Amino acid sequence: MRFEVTRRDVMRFAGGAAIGAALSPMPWTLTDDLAIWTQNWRWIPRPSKGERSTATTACALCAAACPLEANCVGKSPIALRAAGGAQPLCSLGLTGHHLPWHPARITRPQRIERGAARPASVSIEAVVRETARAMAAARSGSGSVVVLDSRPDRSGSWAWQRLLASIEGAVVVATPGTEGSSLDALDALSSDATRLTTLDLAGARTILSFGAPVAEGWGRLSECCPGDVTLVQVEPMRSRSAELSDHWLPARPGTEGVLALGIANTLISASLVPSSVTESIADFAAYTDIVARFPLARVAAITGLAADDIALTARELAANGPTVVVAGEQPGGGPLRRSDRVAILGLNALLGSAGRIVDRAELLSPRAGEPLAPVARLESLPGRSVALLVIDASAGDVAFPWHVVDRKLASSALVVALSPYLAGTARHADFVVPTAPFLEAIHEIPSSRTEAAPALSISAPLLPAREGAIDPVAFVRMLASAGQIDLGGDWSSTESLARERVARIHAAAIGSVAQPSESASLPVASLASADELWDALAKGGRWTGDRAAANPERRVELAAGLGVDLTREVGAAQASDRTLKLVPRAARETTLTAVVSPVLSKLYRESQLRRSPGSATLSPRTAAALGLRNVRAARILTAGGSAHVSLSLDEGVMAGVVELTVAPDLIALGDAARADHRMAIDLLTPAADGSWSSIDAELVEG
Amino acid sequence: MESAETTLARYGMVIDLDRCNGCGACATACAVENNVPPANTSATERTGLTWLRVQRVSNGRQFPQNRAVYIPISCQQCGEHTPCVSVCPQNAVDVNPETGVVSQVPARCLGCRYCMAACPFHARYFNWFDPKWPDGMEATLNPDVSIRMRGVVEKCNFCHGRWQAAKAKAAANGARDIDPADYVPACVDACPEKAITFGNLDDPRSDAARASKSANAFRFLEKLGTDPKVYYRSDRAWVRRLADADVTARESEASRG
Repeated sequence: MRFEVTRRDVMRFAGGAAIGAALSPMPWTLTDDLAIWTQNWRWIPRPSKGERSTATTACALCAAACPLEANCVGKSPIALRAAGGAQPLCSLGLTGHHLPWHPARITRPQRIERGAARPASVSIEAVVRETARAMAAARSGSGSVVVLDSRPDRSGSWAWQRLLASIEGAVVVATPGTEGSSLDALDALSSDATRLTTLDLAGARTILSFGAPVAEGWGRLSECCPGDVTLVQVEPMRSRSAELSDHWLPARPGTEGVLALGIANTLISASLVPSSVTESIADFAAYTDIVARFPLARVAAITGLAADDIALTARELAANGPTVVVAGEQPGGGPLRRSDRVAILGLNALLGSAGRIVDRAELLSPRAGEPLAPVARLESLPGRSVALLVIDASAGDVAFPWHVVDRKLASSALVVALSPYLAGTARHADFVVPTAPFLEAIHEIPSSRTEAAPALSISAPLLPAREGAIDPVAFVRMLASAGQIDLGGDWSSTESLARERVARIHAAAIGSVAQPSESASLPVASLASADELWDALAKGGRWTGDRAAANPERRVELAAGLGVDLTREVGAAQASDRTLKLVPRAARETTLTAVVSPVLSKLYRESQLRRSPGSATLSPRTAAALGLRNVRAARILTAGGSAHVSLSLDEGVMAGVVELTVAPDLIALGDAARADHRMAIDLLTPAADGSWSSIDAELVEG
Repeated sequence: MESAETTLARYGMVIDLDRCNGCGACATACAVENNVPPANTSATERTGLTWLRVQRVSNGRQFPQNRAVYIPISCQQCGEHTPCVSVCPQNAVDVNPETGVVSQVPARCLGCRYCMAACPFHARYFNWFDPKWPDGMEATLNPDVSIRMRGVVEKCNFCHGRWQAAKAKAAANGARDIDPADYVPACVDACPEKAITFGNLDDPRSDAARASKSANAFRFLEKLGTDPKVYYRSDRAWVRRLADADVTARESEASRG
């Protein structure tokens, strides 16, 4: 038999092979291999490998100073979490270990020329030379020197005060909107202006909050008021705190002070104020006269609330004491107007319970008996008077409209910023000095204005500082040297000053340290050396000192601080029918730092959870009343300028109000290439007292 | 072999919507734990990669009666007729019999997105972009979770890396079962309001099992019969009524007016 291969056989074989191969696992294996192969490109990031370890320190991103535990691979933190059963971290804290690698990070001093497309690198010597020259000019009378401090009471703050002590008229001021800054209105209530005051928040059962982000961790209230606390939130918008409150009073923006006086009226007229309380108020008769001008019906008409709701709230406050009344800084919106804050905080004295005004014990400074420049309020500075402004944003940044500061600057003023990032407030500077961010250097977290007892945490570095980062205290020394100012002592860095402070606390043997891993606090007196105290703090511990002794002589003056005719301001006619109230809105953590982790783009750009920067929201009814047909894009006009915003409608927004989102911009989120350098918050024109919580605005299509 | 030695579990979670304040810590912790990259320059809400997405849903009423609820939505870990499993041509999706967790194997995924179309909860995300972190930030990546390439589908797996670590720890200690305290997903760990309870739904001693049987607990789209293992609870009737609604569409419509 002859074996002959025909063309047909070849075709059959090929066809059979193709069908057989298709039915075999081979194609699937090939597809699998292909899928795996395409997932292993060389440019795909590879997580680091190395020894696993944990380290504890304190979060330095806000005043809460949460103790945190870092999971590390090699020496690099890969995850942060609350240490020792403490309250879990916020989104900002959870991603804090990303910040040293943020794209806006700088490691060389930058010069930002007006009108130039990009900043240029300069030497630190050039920055010191220019700054010292401006300081010398200020000393010869050409203007004042001001340091804007984003976290007062640090050793770095003390170093600035020490440097400025030799310059006539130089002052340190807290950055507008810093946590607890709203409590400076307490000064107006105290008969003794020489003592620092705060509110006693401990043991409250009811909290009446005027815009404070209470449910978002403001003011350590959760620690002061454990258990079931009734929260009454007064806010024109449905913030997260309002959402979680027991009662929400949506008063019209700008009418908070009137509401406080209306509540006071009810308390007094219904005889809910104990006689022991009235005796502690120096000007009770005058205050009663003012309050009498705010009967419920009138307050209801001004605030837009029901009179019954206001009366019920007043009675609940009196019945469910101890009660604390706080006027916090609205995230992105800063403090309320000063007159409103005085009216609101005065309720604490009237209720006479937990929220009483008490002396605030001062945190020991790093060194005693040295001359220091005074601390002032920004609004007290004359306009166009500042010749040199130093923005110390090395410990954090606060979102505020630049107008608040800009109107204080002389036309030729030099602005120098200290910041790890070319972002946030630093973008307004002429020079930016790079500092080390959180986790790369020692950061101190002193008690905020909301705490009655002094406190201190130390955030110890977990990473080596990158080359080029300048220590703020070393920069102060450089300026002193260039300006031939003798500062005395041999301190030269934040750590050296911080250690001196810790040594003073240890020597005084006051207070105790709460450690994340221990249930009981450790008395300072039981520690053998200052180094032991330092080590306890560097591992996430928090030192808390003794509260100031009760001051039985203290009397408060409720009428004197009001000063302004609230009724006249509230009743001012609107500019036109199209005028809206522009209210800034932000999540708390996004207004604490200049940058956030790019991973937070999950919340801002990849989901609808947080509104993106440059967006605004108003109610459909308001849009209809304004005749807005295209509600996607609009332009907001304010006295501070105009800006295009993407608009969305939400039934949850009060009629006549437009909520402007203050959120991390693209630079802050790590996308510098597409960033719009105009920040939406700069649209907000501050009032004379420096507040910007609500302003008039118009909205037009296009 | 392994399942014969260890107790089978049916992990699930109960999310208390009355406690959730929409802070986003869960979504952030999830991204950090699972090496989910930051948004690409051109990523939008539709093309984003969020294993856990918190939806804000309002009751639709006018101010001031308007109320909102924040609903964290991740893979609901369906137990029966799992739609994504049945449509995957690559066997890249499977239900782990040991945990009841719907697992996703990115290495097998072809990117056909059938599973995304099949998922009634919109809880699956396609990786449209190359994963990129800013220079140097790779040092912060979690070595327990591999990086996924562009072109594959991703989703929540109840932090599989943490389960493996808990299993390894139990094995090292000579224990047969893992200690429940050792296996807690990142979102549960991060929630400041303790709104998420996690545990074995088949273990009557677990808090999650008890909470899932509470009077006001419910599951989304229960009528589909996919037996999701993510429960929600709320004392508010209007919130419970959302169980059969398309919450994503609802909020988008509200934004558009």
